[in-house]
Amino acid sequence: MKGFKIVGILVAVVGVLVALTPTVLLPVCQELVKTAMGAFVPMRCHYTAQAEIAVGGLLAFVGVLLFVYGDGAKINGVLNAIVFALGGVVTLIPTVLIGTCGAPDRACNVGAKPALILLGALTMLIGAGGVWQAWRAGAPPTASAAAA
Amino acid sequence: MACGRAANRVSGGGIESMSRLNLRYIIIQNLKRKPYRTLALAVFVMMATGTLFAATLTLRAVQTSLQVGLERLGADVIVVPRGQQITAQEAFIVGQPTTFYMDQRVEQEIAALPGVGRVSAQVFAQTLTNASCCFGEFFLVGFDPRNDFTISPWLATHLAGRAIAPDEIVVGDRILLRPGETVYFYGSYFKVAGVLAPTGMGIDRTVFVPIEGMRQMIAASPTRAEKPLTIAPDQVSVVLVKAQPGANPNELAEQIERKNADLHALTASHMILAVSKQFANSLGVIVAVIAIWWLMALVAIALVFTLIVNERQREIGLLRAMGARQGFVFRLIVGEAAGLTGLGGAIGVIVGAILLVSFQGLLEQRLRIPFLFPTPFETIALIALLIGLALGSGAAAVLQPAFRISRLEPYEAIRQGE
Repeated sequence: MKGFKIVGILVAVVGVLVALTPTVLLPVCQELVKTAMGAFVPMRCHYTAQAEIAVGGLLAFVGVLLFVYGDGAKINGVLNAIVFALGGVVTLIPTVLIGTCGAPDRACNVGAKPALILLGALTMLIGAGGVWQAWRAGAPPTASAAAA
Repeated sequence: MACGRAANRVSGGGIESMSRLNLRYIIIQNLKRKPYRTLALAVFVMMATGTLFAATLTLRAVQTSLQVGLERLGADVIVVPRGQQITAQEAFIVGQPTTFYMDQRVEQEIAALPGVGRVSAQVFAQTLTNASCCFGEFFLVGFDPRNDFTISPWLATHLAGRAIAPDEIVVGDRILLRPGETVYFYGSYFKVAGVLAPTGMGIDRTVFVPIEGMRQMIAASPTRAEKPLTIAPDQVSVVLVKAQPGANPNELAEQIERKNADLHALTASHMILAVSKQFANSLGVIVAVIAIWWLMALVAIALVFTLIVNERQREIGLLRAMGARQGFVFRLIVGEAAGLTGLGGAIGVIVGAILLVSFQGLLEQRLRIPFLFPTPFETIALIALLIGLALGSGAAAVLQPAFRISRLEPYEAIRQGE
């Protein structure tokens, strides 16, 4: 597989960025919200950040696996399919699965959320490209190529 | 070699393959031949074009927002208590909640001045955060429907001729409320009568309450709210002034300040200057970065294509020997550079647009600027202009090597290339 090491490094870097975005680079809201019972609890974006740390860590791990074992077409295709799926999860966490704060001007909505959506989309593009490349590398030769 | 490969196809594939050996085919094959070099140059141009696009569009968005927002505000002069001009600007430009007050008599005092057309006072209040009496954190502006000229033109067209009730509010586009919804501030309930069109300025983050409703809310707040609102009935925050036709707003502002030394009069030009000052430092850095990027990109393209032309002398000599004219060789080199920079420019514009749309809110908050995208026509014109600039710059950068190689005789080119 051509360029599998570069793809592995790229996936690992994106994974680290996913984990760092809502915590360090563009931190989500830090305030606590008061419940009807009077208790103070973290807001939704706090849980989004925690989930993204986990998914980012997984992505980085898959990137390392791609770097080490991504030479074979079959394993490369499988690992890239996982990258594609994890990219989808990165995008879905702040938009559908957990979400962010209601007010559009909050730190989580202007910074972390769009950044995570873009990183997720980028991850999905890398994964889809990798699957396509692995499929092409593993596909049986065509009749004309075999004749040549 | 691109033409060599094509020639092989000619010998094996007949007339159909031969028709592929045209200018476009050779350009594409040459770009594909060195993918990393092509990618590096395209990324270089992409970054220059993307940055230029994002910076230009941001500048236009700030100008559009100021134009639309100040038009909506409708005031030629905004009068605030002396010392509150900065916070007042923050409130009008980015909707930062603020509270300051002055005596209501100022309104009549200003109305009596020559050159003043209409006056309208507003009262500012801020909702409480994390208080069970109130919904969210908002900037409340009390307006008088009898003499207001900011919200009233909108009310006239959207409330089907009826007057706004004291318990109704009109909200900006960025407030998460929709018509018909009920909210409560300081223990008083209000129904949303309408949502204003976006302006990109502070109006978008403001809740407009009729002054009668606001006075009732203030009076009830000691018993209903966690923290009472302490605004006296004879206090106002700002007085908006519309000048008479032909009157100079700047002279009117000076006249108001001369009449009452405790007042500060802001004009539309003051507000634009304040935003420009805020933006000037960042803009200076951005313009410098873009200029350096463009220069570096053009120098790199010129250098790389000089090397490419030297490297391909034999190939070009063979093309000339096969019957290619000088113009064909010239167009081949220029077309390759223009294709490369055009592609990089187009991708740069797309990436720049995605980033700008995604991080518009962050940009507004960090730079504290008003922001409203210009019309689609203007945006498309800007995109076309920048892609054209990228194409033109790429072509211009390789004119010298393209001209030099195209004038070489075939034999000379083949010999020099060996």
